[in-house]
Amino acid sequence: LIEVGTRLAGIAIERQLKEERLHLYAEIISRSTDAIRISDPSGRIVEQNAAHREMFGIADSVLIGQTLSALIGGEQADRVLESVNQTEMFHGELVSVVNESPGGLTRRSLL
Amino acid sequence: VKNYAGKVACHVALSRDVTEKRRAEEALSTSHAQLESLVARRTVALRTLSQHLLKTQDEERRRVARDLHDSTGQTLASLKMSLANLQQRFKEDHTTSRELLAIAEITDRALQEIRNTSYLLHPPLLDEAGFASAAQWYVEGFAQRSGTQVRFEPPKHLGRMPGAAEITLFRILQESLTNVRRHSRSSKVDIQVDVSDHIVATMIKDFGCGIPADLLGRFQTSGNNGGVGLVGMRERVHELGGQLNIQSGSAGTTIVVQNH
Repeated sequence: LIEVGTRLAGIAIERQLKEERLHLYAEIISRSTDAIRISDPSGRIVEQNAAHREMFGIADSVLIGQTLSALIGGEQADRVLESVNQTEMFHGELVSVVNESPGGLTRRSLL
Repeated sequence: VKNYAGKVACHVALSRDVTEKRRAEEALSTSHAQLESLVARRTVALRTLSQHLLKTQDEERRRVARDLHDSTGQTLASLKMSLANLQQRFKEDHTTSRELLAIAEITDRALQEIRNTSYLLHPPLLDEAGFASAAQWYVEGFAQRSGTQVRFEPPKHLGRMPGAAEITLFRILQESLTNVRRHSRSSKVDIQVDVSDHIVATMIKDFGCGIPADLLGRFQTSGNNGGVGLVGMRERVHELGGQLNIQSGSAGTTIVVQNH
């Protein structure tokens, strides 16, 4: 019984440590001055940090559930997804289609 | 990002706004283009002014040459005739006759100097017989005055060129030989004028110390700092639509002008 109790206590401590690390990572993402956006495997946006929200000016309630094309248009989104599928990354300059100012709003995105 | 099973768990995108950077670059590029355009316009204006000054200088030289020859030259010629009359009248008075002879010799020298200055300013041969004859006359005079050995065979079938081309080639020849005497310390000069396919190629080659490399480099890269002489040559040739090529080193300087 003592052995089982010790093992359960160990698991609980380990879980707490993992939760603390997850909380730490979430804080890092949240406080980052770089705009960070997370999408699920199907490409639906599931999260954005404050810097991303400020850059694109779209509230979580509007953005969550949308695809990349809502931010940069279908043509550019296809280019990004093609690169991600082939090389697991994209590095390049994209033009936002939201919040567009007279000269166009240009953003550099890393996926 | 992949999970433990190696399947894609999510995509993470990191974005940076480069709008301001791009705007600044565009503004810089626009400003650069405007500056380039301004420099190009100023260069054209300066070139026009320079060519206008060279033309004015040519016209002024021609006018002064004519005035010296027609006015002062004629006055001295009249003086010489009066002196001849006086010499005739006082031929028995040996003292006066000797003095009159001395005055007549001074008058002759003055007359010769006036003619030389007038012809150097603008040789009448250039208008009357063309570049080849004027060049021949000038080269002979230069060799005599400077003691430089000049090899020059005038082209046989050059014929007459447009007035602007003849005066340009003559001024470049004049300027080049002046530079030889002033700077190169060369005792020998070769001059060639070749005509081929309606292109006249004039080459003036000396065997002196050459143009200092930094001076020539600045002239060839920026077109400036070559002294008034080289800049004047370049502007004259440019006005003519020709090409000026200057090569210089420790073995001497070669100037080649090609024009139609």
